[in-house]
Formats: sequence, C-alpha cells, structure tokens
Amino acid sequence: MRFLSFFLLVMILVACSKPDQQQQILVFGHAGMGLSMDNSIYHDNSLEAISLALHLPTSNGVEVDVRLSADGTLWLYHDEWLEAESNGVGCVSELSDEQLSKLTYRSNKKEKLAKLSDALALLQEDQVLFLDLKQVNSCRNERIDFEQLMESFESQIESHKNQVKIICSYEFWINQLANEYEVYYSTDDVIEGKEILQKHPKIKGLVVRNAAIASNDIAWIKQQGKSIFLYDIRSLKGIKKAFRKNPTGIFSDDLRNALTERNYAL
Amino acid sequence: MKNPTSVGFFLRMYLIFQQLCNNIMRVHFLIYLSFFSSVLFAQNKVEHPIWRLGVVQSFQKFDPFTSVQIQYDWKRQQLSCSMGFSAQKASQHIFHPALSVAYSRYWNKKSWNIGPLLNAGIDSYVFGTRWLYLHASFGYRLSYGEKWRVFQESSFGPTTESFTYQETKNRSFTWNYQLKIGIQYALP
Repeated sequence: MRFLSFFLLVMILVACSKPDQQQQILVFGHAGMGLSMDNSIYHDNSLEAISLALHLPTSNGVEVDVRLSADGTLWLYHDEWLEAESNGVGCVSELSDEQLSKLTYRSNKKEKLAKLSDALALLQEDQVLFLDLKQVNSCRNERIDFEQLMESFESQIESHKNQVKIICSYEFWINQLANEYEVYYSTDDVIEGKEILQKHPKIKGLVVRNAAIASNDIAWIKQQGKSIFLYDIRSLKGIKKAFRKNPTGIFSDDLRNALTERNYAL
Repeated sequence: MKNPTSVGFFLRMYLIFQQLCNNIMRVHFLIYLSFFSSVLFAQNKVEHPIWRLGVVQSFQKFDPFTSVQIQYDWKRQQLSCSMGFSAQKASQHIFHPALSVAYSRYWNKKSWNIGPLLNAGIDSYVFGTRWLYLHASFGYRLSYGEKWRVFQESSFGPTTESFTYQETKNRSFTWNYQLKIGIQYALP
C-alpha cells in the first residue's frame, strides 16, 4: 500500500510538471486554420479561415501566402496555379484585381480569394501576420518584379508594419526587404539557413520544416539571438514534438490542438 | 492558462495514466480485443426487449471520444444514449464531455444485424471560453453478437462549432463524419 501511494505520488508529480518554456512558444495558424486540413472548416488563405484563426483564444496570429496580381495588389493564395484550388485558370500574377475578385475556391463553402488588406483589417493589437512571399510567376517561369513588390508593400502594409513579418526564400531579396521590414529566411536546409543567418545579419530568423531541424540546431540559432519558426505540423504528435524542440514559434495546421497543447496546465 | 475542472480524483488518476501511456487509443483497443473472444464464444440467445450496456470509441472531425453507452432493444429497433469525454483533450487536462443519442432499425440474420442510423450529439469544453459543438448525422449500424455484441457505426451529417471570445461570436458550420466502434453486454 505504501509503495502504491508512493507510485501514485510520483505519477502525479511527473504528470504535473509542465515546462514553462512551452508556454512561451508562439502559435500561429498555418494559412489560416491549416493548409489542406480536414478540421479547418474553411479553405486555407481564405478570409473566413483567417478570421476564425485570429479569434481563437490565445492565438498569436496567422501565416498567409502572398502573391502579387497584375495590378500590383497583394492577394492571398498558396498554389502556383489557380486551377489547382480555385475556379480560375492561370496565375495570380497574370490576372487583374477585378478578375481575381470573381474567383472562389473549389471547396464546399466556395470562399472567395482574399486580398491581404482585408486580412490585415482583422488583426488584433497583439497579433502578428507572417507573409510567406511567393516570388515566382509560374505562367512566365520568371520572378515577379521586385520594385513593384516593394511599392505594393509600401502602399498596402504600411499601416500595419509593426504587425507584419515577411518570410522570403530568395536570398538576393533579403537585404533590401530587411531594410524596411522584419524578414525571415525560409529553407529546409538547416546548414544553408545557418550560413544565411551569418551572411545577412539583418535577418531576424529562419522558418524551417519541423521534420528538417533538430533541437540542438534550434538552440544554436536562438543563441545567435535569432528566432526560429517551424511549420508542417499537422498532428497532435507533431505538435508535441515541435514544442519539445523549443522553437520561437510554430505555424500549426491544427491550430485548435496547438493552442490547447501549449496552454494546458493542471 | 489554467482550466480548473471538477472531474475528481479518480478521473485525474485516469488522465495521468493515459498521459503516461502516451497513446490513449491503444488502451481502448486492447479492451475491445480482449473481449472479442467472449463475443465469439459466449453467445447465449437473449429475449427482447432488453437493455445493453457498452463502451464506445468514436472518431470525428474534431475529437475522438471514449464513452459508456446504454441501449434499449425492442422489435428490431434500438435506442442508445452515450456519455463520454475526449481522451485527447483529457491528456491536455481539459474536460471535454460529450452526449449523443442514436436510433436505428435493423434486419438480422443469425447473429448479424444491420440497419440505418440517426444520430444526434452535443459536446462542449472550456478553453479560454466555452466551446459548443452540435452534431446530427445519418448512416448505418452494423453489429454482431447476442449476449456480448460488437458494433460499428458510420454516419455523416452537419456539425456546428460555436464560441464567443472577446465579445465576438464565432459560429461555423461544417460537414462531419462519425465513426464508432464498441462492445455491449446484454443486461440480465
């Protein structure tokens, strides 16, 4: 009986110990409520998904995918081709704002494609919007015009500059972007990421796939005074695994579970 | 964030045990497997109407639930009521209870039964605010056994998720599935 009591006490103590560091990790919705997730309810990058993600208790914000239209407006869309997810054809960069505003996703709810400015309006004071910059126009197989992109940023996100962070995977744009905005480099090659951090000190940190990085790499990046965000975290098991690595933040595809997992305490 | 619950000491012990197991579903599947031998051999015929008591593991879009079920069988009809909680949320120290009611008619051959099913359910938990889910679904129910009975249900229908946070009401509608497996014992 005495042994049983001792065993139960140990179990309680083990179960009650919750690393404080986990509660400090920032949790963002990946493309709103998750990319191609069954339980997200709404299509990724839609205004409905972003609104729901921003209204979840303790949500730190969302990450969205940004593309430039032919009129120079920033739109939210993940795939390279419109026909992949919407009733449109071609690329966002080839269509005007008027054409894009008529498009809907091929989902049950037929959500409309959203402009970045509409998503910015939903942000609460303490929330952050990560913009994953999609820099290639696949229809022409070339990069979008950087000057036009900077002009669009200046006119469309200036009012929320403090709440917007940019994710870029093209090294040659980093320095210019970092002069104006908080920039994070996106890569799945951790060695390359570390080199970029040392080469471009203005970069605030890295965005890396959860499976591609280990705890010691994350610790090293944080020791350099940089931030590290993980993505491609779809299951509760993946969420727990990501939290154990102690990154600065995660972009979770299952935002409800990521938030509850971060915040729970007996 | 603290989520005080009133689930009591024994439930907490159960939660801790589950947490240490690190895979909640395995425990329940082991229970079902251990009962399968009984289902195959202990097949005394039962007289209807009859009450059955069972345990159910259910899966749907948002959360898996573990429930106990009471069922009334009469004239090839079944009415069941299940009460349970989300084991996954329990592992996060959130009490997430669920209640569902199901009605089905069935045709039987030997010890096999199959028929259409109507299911309605509600579940709720507190995380920052109160979350409420309402479910309705239509599908089928398949079962095997007399005294001991294993069953499987699949149904599909609408679900609403609603919560109010920082004075904003959020209500979303979505299509949802309900998959259930369970085992029942006919009460004497």
